[in-house]
Amino acid sequence: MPTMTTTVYLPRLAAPTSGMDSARAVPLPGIPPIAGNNFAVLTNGWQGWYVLADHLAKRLKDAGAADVLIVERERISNGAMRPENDEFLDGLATKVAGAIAGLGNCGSCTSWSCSDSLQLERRGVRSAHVVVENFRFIATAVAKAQNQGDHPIVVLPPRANELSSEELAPLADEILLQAFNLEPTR
Amino acid sequence: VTALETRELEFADELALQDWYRTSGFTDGLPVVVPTVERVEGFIRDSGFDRDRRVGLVEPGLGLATVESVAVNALMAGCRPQHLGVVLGALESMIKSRFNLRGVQTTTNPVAPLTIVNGPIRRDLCIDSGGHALGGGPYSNGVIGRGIRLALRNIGGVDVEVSQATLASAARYTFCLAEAEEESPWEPLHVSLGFEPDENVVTTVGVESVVNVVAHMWSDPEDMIHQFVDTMRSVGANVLCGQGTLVWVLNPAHARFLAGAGHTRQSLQQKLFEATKFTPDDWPFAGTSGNRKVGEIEDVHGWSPDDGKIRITESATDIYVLIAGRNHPIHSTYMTAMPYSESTCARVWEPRR
Repeated sequence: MPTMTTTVYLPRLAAPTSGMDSARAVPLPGIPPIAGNNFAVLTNGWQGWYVLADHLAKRLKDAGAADVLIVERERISNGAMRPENDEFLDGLATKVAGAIAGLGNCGSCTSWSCSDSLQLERRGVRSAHVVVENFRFIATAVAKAQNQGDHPIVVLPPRANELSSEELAPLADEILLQAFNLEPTR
Repeated sequence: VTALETRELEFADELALQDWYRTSGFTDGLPVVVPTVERVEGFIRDSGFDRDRRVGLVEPGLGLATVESVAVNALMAGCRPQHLGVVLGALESMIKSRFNLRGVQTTTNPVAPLTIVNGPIRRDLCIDSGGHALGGGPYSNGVIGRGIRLALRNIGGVDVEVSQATLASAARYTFCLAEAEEESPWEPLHVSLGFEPDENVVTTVGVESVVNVVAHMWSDPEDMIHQFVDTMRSVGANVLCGQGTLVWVLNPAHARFLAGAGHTRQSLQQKLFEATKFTPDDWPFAGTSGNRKVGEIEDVHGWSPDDGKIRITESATDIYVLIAGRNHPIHSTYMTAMPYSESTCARVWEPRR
């Protein structure tokens, strides 16, 4: 069959990050020692994540953390699904050495909670985002779009938000192992 | 990098070109106008816009929307150059932070961004505000809405994997209407939002779903409003988890019926706002939704309850009322909101000639 040629435009920029100033991407901060440092756990409304946040705080304190701040996303963004408040994050970054942001348990909450973690990383805070398996892809896409494709992302089983406190406890251990190399004690 | 790539393609026929765009993930599944270099150059030239003029970054992929990149998508959607200013204005509106485009583009909610057009350009472009304003009608509504969607999809980097919609919505193909300003007993929507009557304005809303309301048997306007309130208090509405903008599209006959009873747009908004407040006891799923208990919704919203009741929106002005549709006193339309997405506006772009 005879063929023809034509030159066409692609409707998408060459890479998703093409519009982003690549100079804004930052090196991955090192993992801080647990003992003596402050940490933050960023929450966003999922009930299971509040339980997990309590487990994370207890484990970090048991390991010698000076303090663990549990921060609700409204305080970060002036609204549950709003861009981050730079002033608030700047202040938080001066107080903590590490942070865990979650829970990615839907599409939009995954993209925003992941962004919180990325924003803290840009401020030199070692941070990790926690997402359930169903929404892993969107977390990865958001990290890549912000030129932080190697950002630590901890993946939990689907429906983790609905587990009991006893079932969530080992997941807290796994999150801390992946985020801060904190070995489980149990 | 702001310039789009071009590619030389060898193809057997037009269907092969269509297949290439579809399998490359650049379409909504429907055929597109293939954006050859010649077509794009002509489109931009005829639009009168500077091709490098920037709109902004489109979430979540943070692709850069420029006249050029938007024009390619608009052309693919079937737009003509004269439609481009509306598409550009809608994108400018949707990238404002209040709209929460990151959430809109990645949510499990079926949200589709609605574009409402006000001002003289409605007539110039024949954007339907009548019997097929929301689908199946004249040309402009379809191609403008689709141009916006393709730009959001392609520039924002939202393919079928990035979008986390559970089922999505047919409104994601195209979702654009004009207000029937001439049929309205009240000032046009954009005037109520602070613009001048002769300005061309797009108002964009993250709409979760479109609900038809049959309201043809009422002799008392207050009964009609009661029916509207019951529609808005649907316990499945996602807006009850977070603030958003609700939309009533009243057909001209319904609007005149209510106006004849003395209602202004503002009084209707206030009436709907007050009557839709609810208590935790009204909510059948308290504490069992896997999310917040309804008693904590005031915390989610960041609003104080009024008299122990929780508001459906932050204020009465977040319930939009506009006029469109055929002049039959039967059906009006209610649009529930994507939570955490608030309506935004922008002027239709004008070329710098």
